[in-house]
Amino acid sequence: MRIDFSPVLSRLDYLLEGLAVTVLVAVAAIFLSFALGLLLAICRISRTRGLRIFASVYIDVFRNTPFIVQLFFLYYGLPEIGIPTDPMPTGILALSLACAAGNAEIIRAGIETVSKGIVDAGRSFGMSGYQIYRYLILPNALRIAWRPLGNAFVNLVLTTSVLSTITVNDLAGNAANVSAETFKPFEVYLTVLVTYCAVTFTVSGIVNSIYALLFSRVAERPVMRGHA
Amino acid sequence: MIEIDNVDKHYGNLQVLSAVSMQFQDGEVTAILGPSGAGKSTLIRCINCLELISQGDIRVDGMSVLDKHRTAEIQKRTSMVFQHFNLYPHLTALGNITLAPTKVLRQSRAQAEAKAMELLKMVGLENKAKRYPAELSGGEQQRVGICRALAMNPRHLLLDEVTSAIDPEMTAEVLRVIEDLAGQGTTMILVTHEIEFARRVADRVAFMERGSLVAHQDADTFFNRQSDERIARFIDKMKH
Repeated sequence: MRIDFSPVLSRLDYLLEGLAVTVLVAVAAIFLSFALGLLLAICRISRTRGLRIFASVYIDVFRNTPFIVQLFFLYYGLPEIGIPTDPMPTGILALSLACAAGNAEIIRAGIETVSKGIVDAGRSFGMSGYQIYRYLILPNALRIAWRPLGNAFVNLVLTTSVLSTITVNDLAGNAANVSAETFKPFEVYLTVLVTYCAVTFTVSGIVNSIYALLFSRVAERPVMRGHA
Repeated sequence: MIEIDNVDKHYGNLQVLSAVSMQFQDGEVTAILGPSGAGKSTLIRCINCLELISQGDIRVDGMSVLDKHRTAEIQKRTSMVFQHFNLYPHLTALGNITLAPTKVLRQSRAQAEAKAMELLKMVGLENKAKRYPAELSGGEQQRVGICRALAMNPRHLLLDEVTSAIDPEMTAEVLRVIEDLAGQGTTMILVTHEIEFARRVADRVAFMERGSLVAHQDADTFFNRQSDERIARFIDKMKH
C-alpha cells in the first residue's frame, strides 16, 4: 500500500467547502457563546436571587452533560415537541449554548479578580451601577479572562467536528465522505488534521493580537488593592 | 457644610462608630487623627455614601445620606482620594481623571481633558498623562488620584490616609500638593497619621478613638495647649 494524496487533491474543492462551513459555524458560535457567557456571568453574580439560581443551574447542567447528547437532544428531540430543526442552525445553537456555560465561568472568575478598590472609586464619584460595570469592571475582567477564553474558543473550533453527526457538511463530515469514497483514510484524515491545526493556530493568533492591541500596556500584576 | 449627627455604624456586632457628632465648615481643613481602628476612614466613607450608617444622620450641604435620591448628588460634591490610590489599571492617567467628569458630569472629552491637563500640570505630572498606573511610582499614582478627585470640582475633598501606602521618600511630593490645595482654601477632611503634616495644614483637628470622637478642636489648641493627657501622649508618640 502506497501513500497517495492525489485522491485527496481531486476532492479538494469539496473539502474546502467543508472548511468554509467549519469556519462559519465556529465564528458564529464564538460570538454567540461569548455574548451569552457574558450575560450568564453577570446573572451568576447578580444581587437578584432568581437570576443567580437560573445561571447556576444552566451552567451546571451544560457543564455536566456530554455535548453530543445535548446536540442530539436538540436536533432530534425538539421536532417531537413541534419545533422544527435544521442541521446548521441547530448545530450553531447547541455549540453556543454549551460553550456559553464554560465562558460564563471564565468571565465570572475574571470579574471576581477586579479589586473592590476601583469599584469604590467609581462609586465615590457617583458613577451608576451600569457605568461601573461597563467602564471599570468589564474591561479589567475581560483582560484577565481573555487568554482562558482564547483556549475555550480553540476548544469550540475542535468541537464543531461533532456537528457532522447531525449531517452538517463541515470539514470532518466531508472528510468522512471523501475517506469512504476514496478508501484513503490515512491521507484524508492527515490532511484534515493539519487543516484543523491551521484553523486553531489562526484563532490563537487572532486572540493574541487582540490581547496585544487592547491590553499589552496594562500591567499583568494587580496594581491596586482594596481599602484597608 | 458637612454635619455629622449622632452617627453609629456597626458591622454585625462590631461597633465601628458610636454617637459621633461634629461639623465641618466650608473652607476649613480638618485633620482626623487617632490610633488604627478608631473609625476614621469609616467616617469619611460614610460621608461619601460608600458605607451606610446604622443610626443618626449625615448631611452634606443640607442633603441627608439617608435619602437615596441624593446619593449621586452628595457623591458629586464629595470626592475621595484613597489610601491605595484605587486608580483604574486599564486607563492612562488622563483616562483615570476624565472618566467620571465625562460620564457623570457629562463634560465633553475636550473640556475634561483640558481640565485634566491643567490638574496634572499643577501636580507636576503633565508629561505622564499617557502613562498607565502600573508605569507610575506610588507617589505619582497618588498625585493622579488627587487630580482625579479634583476633576469633579468637589466642594469637599476627602483624603483617606493618602500617604500611608507610599514609600517614605515619595510622600513629600504628595503632601506638597495637598498643602498647596489647603493654601487655596479647598475644604478638606484628611485622615492621616502624619502628625507634623496635620500640624502644618489643618485648621481644626478631630481626634477619634475606638469609634468615638474624643476631641474636636482648632489646631493650635490641639497641638499646643492640649489638656487631655491621653491625646498629649498620642501626639508625643506620633512625633517619634
